[in-house]
Amino acid sequence: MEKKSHIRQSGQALMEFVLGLLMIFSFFFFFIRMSAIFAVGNYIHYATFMAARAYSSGTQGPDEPELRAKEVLDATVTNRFKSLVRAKSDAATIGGGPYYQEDQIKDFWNQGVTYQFKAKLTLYPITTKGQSIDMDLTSESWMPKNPSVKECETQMNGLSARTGIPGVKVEWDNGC
Amino acid sequence: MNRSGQAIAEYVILLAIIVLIYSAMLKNFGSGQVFEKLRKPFVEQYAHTYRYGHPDARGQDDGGPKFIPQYHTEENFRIFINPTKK
Repeated sequence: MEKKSHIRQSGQALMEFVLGLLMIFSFFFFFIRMSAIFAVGNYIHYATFMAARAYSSGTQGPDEPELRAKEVLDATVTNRFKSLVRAKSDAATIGGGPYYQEDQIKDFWNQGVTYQFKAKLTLYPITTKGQSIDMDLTSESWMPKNPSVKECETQMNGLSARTGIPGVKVEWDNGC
Repeated sequence: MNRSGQAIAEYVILLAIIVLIYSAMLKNFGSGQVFEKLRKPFVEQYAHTYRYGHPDARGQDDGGPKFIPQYHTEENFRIFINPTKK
């Protein structure tokens, strides 16, 4: 005669369900977070481009381009999206890039803005070292800078002297 | 005798066991090759694509310039879409 088991087995299904659910939730939120980081990354690219554009077109004085670029970064990315990305210390570099050369024919274009930040991807909320994907991301935007009014004035005034003809004056009309 | 606390105690213990099993699973997953394969595209390829616009591109500070369109050397010609794998 077969002996009937009296041990309850309904807990097994519950355990499997909970473990499965946790695993599914982990991957689900991993992809949600990944998408959010990619979206913020795109936004930071746009902000860096706008800051580089402000740097390129700040024309009044020698300090103005950097100031304008910083204003754009402050308004768009500084202290924002803290739950997703973390700006590195001295995150923004404004000015000449790694390839920048004064020669306008060579690498004069390499001026603009670099913004560095970190993003962390995890499968579950509490992690120790080595259990997360730590991404170091850098957004760069370079473009040749327009000369400022002062630079233009200096350049045009210099032209008068370079003609070598006495009495010839090159009119300065901000046409640099 | 009041036994209503038994269910709660069982629930808490069961939850603790589930969390332990789950964290042990993920710990092994984290140290395994699967996690490394998951990590590499984000840390290397995506990071380079995000910065330079190409997964194989490198700047001066990480062994380049390589596949940088604005830089004028043999490896940095403006058109280098889908370079062959070496």
